[in-house]
Amino acid sequence: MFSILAFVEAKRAAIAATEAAKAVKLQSMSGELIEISQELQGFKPGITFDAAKAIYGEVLFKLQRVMAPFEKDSGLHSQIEAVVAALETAHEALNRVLPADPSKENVAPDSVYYGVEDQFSMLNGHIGRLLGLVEQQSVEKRK
Amino acid sequence: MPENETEALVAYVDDLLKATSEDKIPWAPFNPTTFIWDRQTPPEARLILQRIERTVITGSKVVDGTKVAVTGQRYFHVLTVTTVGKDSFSVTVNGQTEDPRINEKLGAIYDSISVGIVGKKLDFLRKTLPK
Repeated sequence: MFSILAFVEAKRAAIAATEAAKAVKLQSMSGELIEISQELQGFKPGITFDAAKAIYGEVLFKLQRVMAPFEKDSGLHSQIEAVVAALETAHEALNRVLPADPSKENVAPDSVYYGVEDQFSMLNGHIGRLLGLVEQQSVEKRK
Repeated sequence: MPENETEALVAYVDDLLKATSEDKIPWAPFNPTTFIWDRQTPPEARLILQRIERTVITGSKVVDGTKVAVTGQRYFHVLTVTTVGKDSFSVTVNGQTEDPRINEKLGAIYDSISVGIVGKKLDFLRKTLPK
């Protein structure tokens, strides 16, 4: 009888530890998502193709790293998929403003901004929604 | 924009479309969605035409009793004309914010340039084939 109770208690403690670890991970994910969102605000008129590509590369890497552990999480899965789709759309937009002659990029200085601004704003919106869900889960795990 | 200015702008874009269709303007590709024409005769100017894809609200639907927006992709066009020289002056015609006819006509100019450039590329490729 005592051994069954001890087993149940140990299992409960293990679940609580796993949930606490998840809460910490979610909290750290939330901080990184805020940082990524701020990086995306670096898109301003006059941005060059290389600078836009560098921001995209950095954001892609960071997002894939923070989202990977939660890909199968039932509460985050569909929003993570939305972020991945928005990343692909942003990449396509970037390809559409690849300068034919990089040395003459200053001839049309706002071309990159006009061409990718909408797609990067949409990506930021999806990141914001993911951040909201992560924060909500983080609060629930701490209860 | 006042109506007479809009009509003047529509007429200008019409003239630009006509000249482009008649192959009088040597537009050059700047990137896959932007064309440039550097006007060499006075008044020297640079014209930049870009096609931009944007997300717009196209309607609404009811999901679980709540009205939600339905979005879709639409093309808009931006024409920037800049004079070259010490008193440089720039005008931007944004197809998203102007009269819808202007976006439509700028789109027709864009399509006309694209078709012309594709045709020239194909002619060039054909010339490289053995006779």
